[in-house]
Amino acid sequence: MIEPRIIPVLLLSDGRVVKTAGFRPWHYVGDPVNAVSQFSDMGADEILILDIGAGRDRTPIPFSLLADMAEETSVPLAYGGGLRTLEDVSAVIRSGFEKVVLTSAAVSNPDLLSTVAAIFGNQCVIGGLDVRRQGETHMVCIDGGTKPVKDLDPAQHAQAMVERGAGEILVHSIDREGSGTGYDIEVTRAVSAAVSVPVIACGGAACVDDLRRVVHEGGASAAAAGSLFVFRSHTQGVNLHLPGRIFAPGGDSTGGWR
Amino acid sequence: MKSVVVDYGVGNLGAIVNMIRRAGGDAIIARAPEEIAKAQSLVLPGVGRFDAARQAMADWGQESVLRHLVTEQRIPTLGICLGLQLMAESSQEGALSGLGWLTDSTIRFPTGIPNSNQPLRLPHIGWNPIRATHGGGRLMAGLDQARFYFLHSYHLADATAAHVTATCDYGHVFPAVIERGNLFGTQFHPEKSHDAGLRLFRNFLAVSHD
Repeated sequence: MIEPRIIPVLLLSDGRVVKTAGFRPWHYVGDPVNAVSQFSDMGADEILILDIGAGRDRTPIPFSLLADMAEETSVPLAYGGGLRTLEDVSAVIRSGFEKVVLTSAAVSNPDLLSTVAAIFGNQCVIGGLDVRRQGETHMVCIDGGTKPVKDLDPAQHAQAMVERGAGEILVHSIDREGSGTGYDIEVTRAVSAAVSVPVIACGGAACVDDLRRVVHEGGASAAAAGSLFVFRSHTQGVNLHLPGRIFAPGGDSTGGWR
Repeated sequence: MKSVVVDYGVGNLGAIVNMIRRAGGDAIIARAPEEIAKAQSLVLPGVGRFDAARQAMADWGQESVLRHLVTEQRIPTLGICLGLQLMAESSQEGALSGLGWLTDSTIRFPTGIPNSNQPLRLPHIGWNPIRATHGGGRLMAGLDQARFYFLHSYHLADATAAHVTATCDYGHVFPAVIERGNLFGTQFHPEKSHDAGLRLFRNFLAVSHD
């Protein structure tokens, strides 16, 4: 029906692309405008930009930087991090973005999802789920993954976000993030089984097979990754790359990279 | 040759301006009727909800200048996603009427796939190839079977109508491109469809120069 998407994630902090593990600590990776331009030139399916500072520390949303990034991009863009009002969302969309991710707002101010969907449509709203495994269960967290929310099941929260106006769900595993141990298939599957909107999985991808697994076993419609597309060598030298169309009919089994 | 990207309170306006520039054109964003009136070609953007856009058009007095430019002066006009749907008579997404420039209505995708118990995940999000019909037309030149980026839950109802120049298949076949006289429209987002999108905008600018 439709080819699953492969989405590079750029984490921003203070106007720079950074690399995290479990959402902390941060290593500098590169210039955001240059990074997004390269991924766009490679023909990325979409690019996801998440500002950790804006999400966690409430530093200002970098509107001007986002507009500069949009100017260099001819592929779809989504932004998340600290979006709290319709005006914030409107400014981001107008500058050249197609979707926004609402994570903390989905918990602290769920009406924002309905308000945004009423103006921009639910296809514009990605409900963000930052999750952390706790024993046998998963906890939903807000504020850049720093604050767990009591008694909030990820699958139920995903359903609630869809009811409010989310047209897509981003399941972001904090534990797996930057770990290179693969996606959290279990929580991805629980969420994708609970909703009928597309689900994007993020956090932990270490190889191209991880992308296949989270789609075929986790029910994800899209596989997002940061480290996998930003680093390549054992020495962790910076290199941006994307795999070929591994989900194309007939499949790209060459294992080649763009 | 100035393209005006109409600001009806919604839309990824900057992306369209960027792409037109990349295609060698010149574009501005305009909200006031007297600014829109200067257009030599028009783009109606997507990323917005039907009623929000129609209400803003009414509130800001844009309807009459748009009707004049499109139906009387017949300047080249491209509707993208919501922009295309606004050209129809009505939409299931909203209660307000459409502009009625195209004889069709806008409907929602069904929730299931025929002859299967698999649900159809909506919105339709991602890259899908389109297929030329009715001879393809000028907007589609060189783009038969090209992949474009879709992001929507609604589409025009009639895939067999004479103004449909390309279709796409997601659950079922639906109109992807329309062309009729000075009216052009895409259900997908050419401003974010990379090389194929760039080619489409070049085609639109070439038509606009005729």
